Amino acid sequence: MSRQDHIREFAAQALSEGRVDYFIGWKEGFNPSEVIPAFVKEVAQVDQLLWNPLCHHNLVTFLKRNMPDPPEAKIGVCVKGCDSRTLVALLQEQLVDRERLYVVGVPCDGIMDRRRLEKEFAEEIVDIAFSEKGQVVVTTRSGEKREFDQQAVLLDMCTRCRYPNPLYADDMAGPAVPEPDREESQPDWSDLADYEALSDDGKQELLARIYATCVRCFACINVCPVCVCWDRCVNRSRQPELVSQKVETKSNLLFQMVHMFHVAGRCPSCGACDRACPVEIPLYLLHRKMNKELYDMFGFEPGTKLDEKPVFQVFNLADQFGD
Amino acid sequence: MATKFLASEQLPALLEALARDARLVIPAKSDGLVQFDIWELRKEVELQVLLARQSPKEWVFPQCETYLRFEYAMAAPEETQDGASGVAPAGVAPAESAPAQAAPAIPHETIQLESLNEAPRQVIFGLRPCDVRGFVQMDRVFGGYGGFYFDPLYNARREATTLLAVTCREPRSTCFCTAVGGSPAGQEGVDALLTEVGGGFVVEVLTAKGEAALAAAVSAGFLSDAGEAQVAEAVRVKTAASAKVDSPFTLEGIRENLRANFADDRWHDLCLRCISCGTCTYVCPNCYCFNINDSLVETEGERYRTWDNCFNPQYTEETSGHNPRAHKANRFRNRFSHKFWYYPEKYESLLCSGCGRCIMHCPTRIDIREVLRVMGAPAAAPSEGVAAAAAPAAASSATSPVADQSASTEGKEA
Amino acid sequence: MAERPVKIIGIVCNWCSYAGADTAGVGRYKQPPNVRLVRVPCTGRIDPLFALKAFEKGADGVLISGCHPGDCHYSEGNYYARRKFELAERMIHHLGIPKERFRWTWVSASEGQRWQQVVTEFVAAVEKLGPREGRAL
Repeated sequence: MSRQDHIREFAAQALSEGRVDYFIGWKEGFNPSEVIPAFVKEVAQVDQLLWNPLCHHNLVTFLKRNMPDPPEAKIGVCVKGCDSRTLVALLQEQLVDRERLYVVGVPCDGIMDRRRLEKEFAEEIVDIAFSEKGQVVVTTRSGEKREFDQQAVLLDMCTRCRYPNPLYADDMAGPAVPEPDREESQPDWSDLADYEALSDDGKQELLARIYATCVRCFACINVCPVCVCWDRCVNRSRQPELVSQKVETKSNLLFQMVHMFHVAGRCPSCGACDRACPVEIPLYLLHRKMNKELYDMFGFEPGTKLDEKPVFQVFNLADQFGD
Repeated sequence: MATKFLASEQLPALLEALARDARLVIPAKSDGLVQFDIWELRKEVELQVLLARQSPKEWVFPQCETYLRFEYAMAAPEETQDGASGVAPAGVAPAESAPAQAAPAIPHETIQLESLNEAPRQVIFGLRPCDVRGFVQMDRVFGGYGGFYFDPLYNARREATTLLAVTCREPRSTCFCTAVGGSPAGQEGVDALLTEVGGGFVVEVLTAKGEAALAAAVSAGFLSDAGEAQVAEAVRVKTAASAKVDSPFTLEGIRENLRANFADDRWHDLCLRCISCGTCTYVCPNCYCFNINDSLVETEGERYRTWDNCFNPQYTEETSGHNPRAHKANRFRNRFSHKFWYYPEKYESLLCSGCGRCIMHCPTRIDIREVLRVMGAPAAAPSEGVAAAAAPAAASSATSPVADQSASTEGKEA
Repeated sequence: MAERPVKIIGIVCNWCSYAGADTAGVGRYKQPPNVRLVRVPCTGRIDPLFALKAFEKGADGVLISGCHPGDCHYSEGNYYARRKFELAERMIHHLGIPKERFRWTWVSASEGQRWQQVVTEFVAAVEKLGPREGRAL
């Protein structure tokens, strides 16, 4: 039984038994190269649900405050490994009600970097298919077909993943995938190396260039599953105006730093913000770095233990910070 | 007006000529992303990737513009007594407000205003007919159509802008310009239209502005008269391109249907995957909502306006704290209803040119075509939704958050 | 034109460091005049945003100070705070703002002399780098 079949079966069961009002999974978008979040309300619709390496959306986003509709809905939801960490982070702080959730864990082999594929073609991609042998076949609108090695077009963060298996789930869609020995290995932060090697001035120059393109659409914070006050955000406040509403490099960067600090300890770098940004700002430079430092400071990986408190909600008398 | 021909190898020379008298804006690729940007020598114009990530609207309607600076100062009492110094408190005409001899010598606050409006002469080259229609539709809002407000900031820039559009040879699957009255070779608002044919472009000069912008290129010999065969090929290219655009929904009765479906529950289903961000409106060539802010540091300040969008939870928030569109379904409904119902009612045109950017760049790929297919069609069977719409006041019960608002709160867009 | 003097924002807690600065004043310990103090109830109230906002608004350096660990007027505010400041320091440096421009430390109400020393050292370090102009943040 494939993972997809498992998901459909779990969804059908939960819906028919009335355990959930709706079930959130993934389905095909406006063409087979696109996958979008699916909200299934009836058993007859569960065949829409699919699972493939294009299912990048972190569906935990739709559980956070003011997203469920109606607000007290009982919700079934699919989570990948990284998604489950955001869910655990929300549960640690009781920001979602566990009683109203039904969670299907989906072990994950890595998600496609669709944007990287897009850049390989001048034309529009209309189909992405996956062969048994780990190949990805991309078709454009005029019918051009090209094959890629699946491992070579994964999201960068997926190639460094330490938690491919969901850490919290009521049911698992199939057997676990192999995962690194976390006792033995350290997280791989080499994606930050190029940036970190820059001089102070080099960093400022790069950031100035990157953040000049931000359009303040707030997709990054709205899509962020752990950014729970998304619709009451300090970044949008005009009275007092803590972050200028002016769209300019300085306040754009300040806005991102505010987001980064406010989710510190909760954000496992699921990358949802990176993928949502319409102008492709490399937000990982901030949140991956933040997680790197938290790991260095506390050996802490957000959203991994249900009974753990996030690092900024507790303290230790023996902390060795400051002079 | 004239139809010219531009050989492909003359394109860089044409751009250079255009940039001589005006700021030249072109779609260019940077870090794999196509965006409109100011042309510089050796910056290549990107005409292969269809549709720049964002529409070119920011070049006429900037995302953020400071249009007023102000400074407070205290005038000393002697100056007012003197009368001749001419410094009067803001908004007060001293001669009429009080008898001159009785005016007490008190220090008062004065304010100095400096208004800013930059409108450099510019040419936007390589935008698409749908992008141009975005400007045409915005012109109505800002241009005083129907006796409404005339915006001097927008119009000064619009006046100084020439639009040289390029026909879309290979429309995307998300394009639907023909469904909303446009075409991949549409001429509405276009100053000159370039259509790629074998060996170059057929250039149709459509307005005096277009002619003026291209005059230098013509006299320098970069543009020659188009031959009959070239013109015929351009016609074939245009017809072929139009045939490639889908017509995914019908406009017939769309206004009435949106009105009838105002309180329909299906808005909730459609918006479930919406994250209520502003991506769709910020990439849109037509969306024009803005917000005005004052910033004041000590005695100096400025007033600026920035784009705003109807998905922003604060967009309709009132000073009391009440928000008539508190739920994302309210905000979601507004975008589509505004484009196909409220705006058309006021400006006799649609507020959508079918570029499909909102579909392509939405983080969850909310599809305007799907929304209009569902909500722009009559409700199938007499359902609760239709009954509710027939009596909107009665529908404002607490059961549906969508219904808690009357159409009168839609004034902000108009 | 001569370089303008550096501007430094000091964010201090009401109970220790603000009083410490006061002690320094009363004791007439000479110190550079570049620091503008912002008084907050406790270092636990300081959001890293304050420091970033100061940089955004043109500060050349930000100095944060409060009660020594164990001495917090509210018992544990600074225990939470020091975790935040440590991350803030690392992230501020990550933005390409040199380490010398951001410092956080502890100064008690009686340590007028220590306040003098902290301020003098910090201002000297920032002066060495000069004013910040035209930066990303």
